[in-house]
Amino acid sequence: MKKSTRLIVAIFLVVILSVTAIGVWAAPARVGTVPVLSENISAGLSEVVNIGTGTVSVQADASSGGSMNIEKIADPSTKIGLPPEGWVFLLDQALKVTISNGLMNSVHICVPQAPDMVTKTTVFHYWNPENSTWTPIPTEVTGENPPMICGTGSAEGHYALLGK
Amino acid sequence: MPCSGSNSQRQSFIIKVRQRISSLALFISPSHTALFHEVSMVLIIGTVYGCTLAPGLTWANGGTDGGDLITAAATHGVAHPSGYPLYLLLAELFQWIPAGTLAFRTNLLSVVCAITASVFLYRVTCLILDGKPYNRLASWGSALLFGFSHLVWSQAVITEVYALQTLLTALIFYLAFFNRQWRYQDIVCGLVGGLALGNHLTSLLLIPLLFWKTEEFVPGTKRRTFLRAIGILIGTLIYLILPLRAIQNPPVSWNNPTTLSSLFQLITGQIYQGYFTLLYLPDRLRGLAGLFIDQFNAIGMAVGFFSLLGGRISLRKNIPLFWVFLSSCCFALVYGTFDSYVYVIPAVMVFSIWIAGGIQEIVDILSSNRKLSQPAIYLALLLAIAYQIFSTIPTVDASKDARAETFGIAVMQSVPENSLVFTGDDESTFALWYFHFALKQRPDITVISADLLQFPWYQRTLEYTYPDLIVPDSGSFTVESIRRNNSTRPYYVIDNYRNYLNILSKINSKNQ
Repeated sequence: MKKSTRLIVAIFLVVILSVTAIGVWAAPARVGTVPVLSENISAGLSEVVNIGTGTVSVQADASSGGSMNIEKIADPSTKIGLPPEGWVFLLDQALKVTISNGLMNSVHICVPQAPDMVTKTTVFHYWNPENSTWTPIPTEVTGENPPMICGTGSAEGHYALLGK
Repeated sequence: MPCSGSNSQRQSFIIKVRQRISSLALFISPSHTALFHEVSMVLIIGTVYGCTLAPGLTWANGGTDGGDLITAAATHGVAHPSGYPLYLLLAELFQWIPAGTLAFRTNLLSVVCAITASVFLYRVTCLILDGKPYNRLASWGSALLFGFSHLVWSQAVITEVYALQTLLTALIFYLAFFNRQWRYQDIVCGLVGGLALGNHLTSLLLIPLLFWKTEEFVPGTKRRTFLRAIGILIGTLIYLILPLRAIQNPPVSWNNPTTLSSLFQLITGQIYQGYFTLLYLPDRLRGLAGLFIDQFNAIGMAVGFFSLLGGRISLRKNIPLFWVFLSSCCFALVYGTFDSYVYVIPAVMVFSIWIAGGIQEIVDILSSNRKLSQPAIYLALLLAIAYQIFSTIPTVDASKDARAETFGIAVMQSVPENSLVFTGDDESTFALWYFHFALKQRPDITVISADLLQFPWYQRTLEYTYPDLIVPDSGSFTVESIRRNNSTRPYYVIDNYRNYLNILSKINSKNQ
């Protein structure tokens, strides 16, 4: 190949690369060295399940071998439904709680209160599949350093922390 | 007669020593020009790196793992998978230097490795362009450009394993392209390959270079291949230091590799194997293009392509270069972490060699047509390097990054006595490990990574590190159950370091 041709091809390649190039390296939001917990967690009915620094526990009449499954669902407004007017999802995810071989009495979900939640009204909501709306459930703030926001629901299904 | 006998023994000993030295000299000694180039590289790169080096623990340039690596080295522990035994040993050596903080001394290891890698890249490029005019000058310029490329520089000024990996990559290149025979050549080649595997598993992609014949005829191939394979095996034995460290119950002991299966899981990075994905491929291909332009700018890229299209580097030498280029890019594209772009460094090294070929040819053309003088060529190269330095420095300078130190000191000073401190993200976990375990601050508190609680080995580590901690049953190790079992102790949850710094800034502003 002649030098002039090589030079033109080289410049052409650089132009193509420059046009297609982007300045970001696509990656998931949080995949670091400490492995985050699985998006789908199964555990016995009597266990307290870790969800990051928060927890989920279920009170149930368990027959032998009863178990629960906690699934994290990202982008809940698209995948489940929009929050009520004036409310926003405070976490990036909702939790889907399901039970196998057991009858659930209540589900207890706790997450740490982040500083940006302090000035907001924070209430856990349950996704009511019958009328397709997010319904508030009893929620309290307990402890300190930081306080934990804990909600108590009574049925299987989707739960999310909403604030306004 | 015994006297003459001992004389002849002494003479034969001296001859042997001279032969050894000369064989060693053959491996090391550069010509005067090369010496000038190498010394000037060390001075230029060393000065610039020194000005941008992180003075302590840093999160700059994706260096969040620094706290884990420094602490594992300082406490004779085991770092995150794959364990990095070679890095830990070298880091421990640097931690003995009597100057600066523990983190600063460990950062120095990266500086030394990155400078030495550039020097070896210079030698590799000289070997590849051997016999061509201005080959040394072009190699000098491209090796400096490599040293000041965004990726290499960013890893040179923080605690991470990638500067050492860059050095080992350059060494493997050098051994692959150094064709003159010297004593123990094959076993040393293998040993370096094995040690490289002991630093990072991506070295597997470099191992074929050690068996590639860059010359037409190499005698005794089978024996040499065998010796190199033995060398690799011996080098990988460095992983055996991990169980030896783990049995001493260090506070950082990933996977607790005291059994064969846990050692295997650690070395093979089992907990990260699910990170491989093709999900980001289209965007990352475009990101890769941006990454290369970011390293050498458009002119450097054009010079590299100009050389590549010319075929001045023989196919026999280019095949291993292409292999390293493609394999390291592919690995970076499919490994789904936010910082997998660092695995492109070997490809950047290869592209620097191609740029050297381009510089060599362009200088040859210009000097033959217009009688360009050597000082003018040096000046032009220095201007290009100065441009590279000043355009890259704002994005890699770690000398002013005090976030990790501010965070760690703030937590150590603010949490009440006997607190349980639960951490969420890498930044807060590793920074607190550094202050708590490596610097031995606040022995009264208990630092617990919430996400690591899912692993039995971490539960065991907590049990022996904190004998006073009342631990739950092995099946229910959660933040909640630990809190409940230790209900008399205050607790903090640092889900995200940014939240914690927000709290502190609010407290500080109230106090003022």
